[in-house]
Amino acid sequence: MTELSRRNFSKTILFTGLSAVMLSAAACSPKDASGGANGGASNKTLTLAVDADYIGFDPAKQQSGGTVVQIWQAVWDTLLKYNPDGEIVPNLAESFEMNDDNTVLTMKLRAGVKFTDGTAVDAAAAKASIEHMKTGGGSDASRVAKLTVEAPDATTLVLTSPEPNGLMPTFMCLSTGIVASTASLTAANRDQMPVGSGPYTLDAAATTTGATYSFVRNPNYWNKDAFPFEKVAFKILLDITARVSALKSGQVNAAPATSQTSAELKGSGLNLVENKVNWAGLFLGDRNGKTIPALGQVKVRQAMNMVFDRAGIIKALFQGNGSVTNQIFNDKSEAFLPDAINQYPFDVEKAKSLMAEAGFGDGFDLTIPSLNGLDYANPIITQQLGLLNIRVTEKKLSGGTAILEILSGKYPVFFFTLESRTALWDIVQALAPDAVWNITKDQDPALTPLINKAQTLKGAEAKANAQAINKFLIDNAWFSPWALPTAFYATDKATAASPVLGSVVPYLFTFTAK
Amino acid sequence: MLQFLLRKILSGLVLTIVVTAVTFMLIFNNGTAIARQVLGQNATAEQVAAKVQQLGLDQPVLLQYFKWLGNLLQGDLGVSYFTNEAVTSVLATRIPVTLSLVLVSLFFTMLISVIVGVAAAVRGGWLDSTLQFVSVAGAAIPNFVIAIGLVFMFALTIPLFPATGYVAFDYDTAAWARSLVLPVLAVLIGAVANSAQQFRGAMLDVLGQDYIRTLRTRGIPDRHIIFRHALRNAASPGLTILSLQTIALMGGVIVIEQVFALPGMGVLIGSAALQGDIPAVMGDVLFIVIVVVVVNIIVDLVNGWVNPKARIS
Repeated sequence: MTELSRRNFSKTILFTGLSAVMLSAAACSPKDASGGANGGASNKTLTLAVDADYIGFDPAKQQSGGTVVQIWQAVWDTLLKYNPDGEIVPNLAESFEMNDDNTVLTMKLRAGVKFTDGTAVDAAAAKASIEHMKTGGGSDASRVAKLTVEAPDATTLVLTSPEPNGLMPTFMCLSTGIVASTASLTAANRDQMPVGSGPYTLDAAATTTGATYSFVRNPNYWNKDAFPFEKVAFKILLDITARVSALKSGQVNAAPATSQTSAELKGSGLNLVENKVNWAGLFLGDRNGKTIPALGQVKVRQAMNMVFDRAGIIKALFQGNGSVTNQIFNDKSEAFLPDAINQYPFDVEKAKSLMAEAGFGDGFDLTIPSLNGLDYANPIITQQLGLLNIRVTEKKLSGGTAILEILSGKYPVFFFTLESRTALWDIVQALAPDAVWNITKDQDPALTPLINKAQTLKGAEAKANAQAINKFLIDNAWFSPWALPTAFYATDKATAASPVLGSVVPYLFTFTAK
Repeated sequence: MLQFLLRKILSGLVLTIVVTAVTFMLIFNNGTAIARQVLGQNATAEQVAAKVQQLGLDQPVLLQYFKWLGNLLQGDLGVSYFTNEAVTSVLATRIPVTLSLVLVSLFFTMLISVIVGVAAAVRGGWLDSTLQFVSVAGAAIPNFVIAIGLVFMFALTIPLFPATGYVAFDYDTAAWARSLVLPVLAVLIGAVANSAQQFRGAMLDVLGQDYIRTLRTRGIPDRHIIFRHALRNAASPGLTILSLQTIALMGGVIVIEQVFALPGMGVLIGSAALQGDIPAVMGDVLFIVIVVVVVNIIVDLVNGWVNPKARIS
C-alpha cells in the first residue's frame, strides 16, 4: 500500500464521516412534526393506536367489532349505547321501549341536537341512516335488513321486526345505530368526509388516509362533558412491535396489546385494561351425525371435551392469561353457569371409555381446517384427539374464502375464538337454526323452543331460559370450549379507560385524563 | 446507445404487461370470493351477486384485464374496494414514503459498500477481517431484529429518534430525515454487509489481473489504477448486486415499514392483500414492476457507461 493510496482512503473515510455527521445533525433537529409525539392527555390531545386498517367513513360500512369502533365513535353518535357493564342506556335517543313480544322498538330522540353541517338530528335523519345501512353493502347490514323503520314525527323512531327480536336495542348501540347527516349519506365524498353529531369532527388537513385520522372537538356537542379531550388522533399501527414502541416512547396514549406483550407493558409501568371478549375452543358441528356419524353421538362429543387439559392450554397458548371454561357464554353473561365449569375434567381414560361406549373405540377420520392466525392450536388438537384414535388431517385454508368455507359447514370441527356478549347475542349468533355460527344448522327438539323463547322473555325469566340453554349445550357437548382468554389494552400513566362488555377495546367515551 | 435504450424500454414494457396480466388472471378468477370478501361473512347470496355485477366481476377475466389496462393508459387505476379512494391517490401518498426509504438506503448502501469493499480489497488486514465478520453477521441477523434493537437503543433508551411514524419531506425536511434514520439504518446494516462483500470480491478479482500489474510496472499511481481502471471493471458485478439489492429492498421494506409504522407501499401491500382490495393490489404490483424495470434499465445504462465491454455486449 503506497502513501498516496493511504491518503486517498483517509479522505474517503473523512467524507463518509462528514456525511454521517450531516445526517445526524439533520436527524437530531429538535423540531418534530411526526404527528405522533403530540399525544398526552395533559395538553388535551388523546392519541390512540389502532391495530387494523380503517375502511373509510361511509356510515354503511362501519363495523361493530375490533378497534376501528373508536374511530367512528369520534364522529357519529349512536341512538343508544352500552355502558361499560353492558347495560343499554339512552344516547341520541333519550328514551326507548320494546313492546311485549319484542317486535317493536320505539325510541324518542333528543330534541335540539344538530349535525356539524347545521341540520337537525331528527327521526327522518335516523331513518335515512338505518335505511342506508340496510342497502349500503356493509358487513353489519344483515342486523337491520329485516327491520321496517318509521318516523311518525320528528322525534319518534319506530323499528318493527317481522319476528321477535330482542337484540334490536343492542343493534342500536352498534354501527347499525349510527345517525349521520342525511346529505352526507349520498355525498360523493362520504368515504372521506363524515358528517355526524358526534363529539369530534374530522380534521381533514391533519389526516392521512390509512395512516393517521385526526379529529377536533365539535364545539356544539350536546354531551361535551363525556369527552374531556380537545383533540383525538388515531394512528394505524398494524404491527404489535410498532404499537409497543409508540406506547413506550409516548407517541400514543393507548394501544391494543396482546397476551405476549402484556408482561412487558406492565413491567414498563403502563396500565393494562383487561377484558374477556371471546371464548376459545373447538366448534363441534354436525351434531346430528349427517356427514360424520360419530359426531352425532353425545358420548363422542363428551369424550372430545374431556381429552383437553384446559388449564395447560391456557398456559401454553395464552401465556396463562385467561380462565378455564366449558361454556360459550362469557363469565359475566346471565347464561353463565359457574357450578358447571368442571363438568368435563381432563380425563383421557374416561374419554376413551366414552368413545368405546358410543361404539367408536377405534376412532374415526376427521379433517380440520388450518387458518392463518388460528392454526396455533391445531397441533394440540391433533395430538389430543389422537389419544382417542381420532385421526386428524389438516386442510390449509387461505384467502378471502377461508371463513366462507368454514361457515359452509364443510369442516364440522375446528378451533376458533368467537366473540361473546350478552346471552341473547350469543344465542342468536351461534345457536339459532339460521345462526351464522351454527355452521351445520343443527337443531334439537329440546333446544329450539328455548331459543325461540329467548327472543321474547325479559328479566328473571330470560335469565333462567338462557341458563337452561347453556345447561343443554354443556350436557350435550355441543361445543368444546377451553378458555376465556384475556384481551389486553394498554394505556399510559396519564390516561385511563374502562373495558366494555364484548369489545376488544375500550369505547371512546370511557377515556379520561388522570 | 439509443437503440440499446429503446430495446431495454421495450423489454421492460413487455415484462410489465406479462406480470400484471398473470397477476390479474390469478386474483380475478373468482369474482364471488372477491365480493364476499368485500361484503363480509354476514352478506347474503343476493348481496354478493349484486356486488359481483356492480364491480364488473361477472365479465370474462381477459376483458376485465384489458379494461384495467385501458384505464391505466388514462392514468386511472380504479378505486379501492374498501375506501372508495382512487388507487392513484392512495399510491400518491404511499410511494414517497417507500421511495424515501429505498432511495436513501440505496444511496448509503452504494456509498458505504464501495468505500468499504474497495478499502477491504486494497488494504486487507483488520478492515478486511472486520468486513468478513460483519458480512456474516449482517446476513445472519434479520433486519426486523436489527430494527427492534435500534428502536430500543435510540428511541426508547436514548430518545434521539422517533420510534414510529413518517414526516413528509416537503412538510419538514429535518423531521423527515429524523423519521428515516432508524428505518434506513435497519435496512442498511444487512444491505451494506452483502454489497460491500461483493465489491470486495470483484475488486480482488480485478486487482489480480495482468493488466493491473502492467499498469503498476509503468509507474501509474495507485489511486489512478484503483479508481480509473480497477473500480470501473469491478463495477459490473457490483452494480448487478445493487440492482438485486433494490429488488430485495422492495420486499424488505414491508417488514421495516410495519415495525416503524411508516405508511408506505409495504404496509399497503400487506393490508390490500389481506383485505382482498384487488385494485390496490394491482396498483402495488404495477409500482413494484415499474421500479424493477427502471432499476434494471438504470443499472444497464450505468454499466455501459463505466464499462465499454458491457456496452458492446
